[in-house]
Amino acid sequence: MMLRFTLQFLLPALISSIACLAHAAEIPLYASGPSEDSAFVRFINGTDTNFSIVAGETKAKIALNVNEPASKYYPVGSKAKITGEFSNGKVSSPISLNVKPSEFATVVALANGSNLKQVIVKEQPDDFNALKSSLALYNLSSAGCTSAGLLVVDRSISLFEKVQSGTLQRRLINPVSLSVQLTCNTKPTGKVLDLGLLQAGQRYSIFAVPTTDSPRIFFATDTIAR
Amino acid sequence: MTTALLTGLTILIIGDSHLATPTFLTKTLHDDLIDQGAAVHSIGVCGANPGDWLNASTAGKCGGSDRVGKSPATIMGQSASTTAIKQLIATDKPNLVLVVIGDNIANYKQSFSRAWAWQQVTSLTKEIASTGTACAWVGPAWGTEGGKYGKTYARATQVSSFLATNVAPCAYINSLDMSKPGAWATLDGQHFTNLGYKSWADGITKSVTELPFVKKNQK
Repeated sequence: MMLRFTLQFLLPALISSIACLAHAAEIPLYASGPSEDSAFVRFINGTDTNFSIVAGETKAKIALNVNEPASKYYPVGSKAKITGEFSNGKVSSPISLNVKPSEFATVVALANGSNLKQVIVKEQPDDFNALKSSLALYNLSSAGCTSAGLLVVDRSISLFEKVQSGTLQRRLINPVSLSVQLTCNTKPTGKVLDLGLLQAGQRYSIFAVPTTDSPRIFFATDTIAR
Repeated sequence: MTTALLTGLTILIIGDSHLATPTFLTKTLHDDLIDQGAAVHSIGVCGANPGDWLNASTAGKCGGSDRVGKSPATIMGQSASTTAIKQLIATDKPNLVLVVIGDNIANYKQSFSRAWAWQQVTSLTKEIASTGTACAWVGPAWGTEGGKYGKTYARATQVSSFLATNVAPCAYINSLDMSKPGAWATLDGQHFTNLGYKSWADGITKSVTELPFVKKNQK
């Protein structure tokens, strides 16, 4: 009697458990993420003349005009060497680099007399945040500005300080309208740059590059190519 | 007398394996939202990542299901394919898109691929936002540690925190707040028993009814 009573109540649970196990067996094992983190590379024209990038393998061409000097970030495999060439038909500079998982690499072409030189700056950001804007200052201005900073115009606020040549600093800020000015060794340098209204979740970069006079800055939105 | 808090809303749910089997959220969440008065379309593709919903993709190769209203779910089989989110939104014209993806970006057996996850999540949220449709993202639930996917509470917490700050302008629905770790029994660490899926659905439905967008519609 007791056995029948127990079975009467246990049987539905048992069937349910078997059904669940059957379902479990139906779900094949699948990956819950990639085998390694993504990596990206972009190209910047830090000169005052138009250039193009030609990809080494595909020969795809990207224009980097003075008015639009930054490419998008392109997803790349971390095991393959990335090759290509900066060129404007008169001078050229071969590109060759590897990018590790989680890295965002920026390859910048700069004037070097009548030739070109390159600076490669890599970052591994961990500040992803859709509620804030992310802003970076890349100091590529070499001897003209060994310690760069960025001031918010009219507010006497310093966004960045002591960014050494060939490096970058990045920080999260509120998505507001900003105008900024470069400082070199704490001294305001060059023209004011209006960034407009920054968007939440968007990532931005400001590049300080050398000119024949004092360093100049320009601004790019960090977008990922689809 | 209870009030159906979602009357008049059309909800499109897209997700991963938790919506790819007819007895999982495809039943419990779908039915709960209908009970609250919503018109519901659920599509789950096992193994699908957020970016797999930008264009049609045979994502995880491990099954899927599609359910509209009170009809039974259609099983998609091993060759299940996602449909582009913009196409789904254009067809269904939902008031709200619910994205249920968390475990699939957690990389439980390796280190968390933060840059990849950021790219995946933001590409989908931007695509939804470009249509002007309200959205909410349901993060991972605790599950149980171990199993064939190697789930850990620490990684579930990390992924949930990541999503909480990266799914805007979608709202974030934190599933970890709905139970204690391990409280809902699982089949394999990641997928719940029927009782677990019922509890998770109840928690999600409650959170949906409390979304500011939904509350505004109730007035």
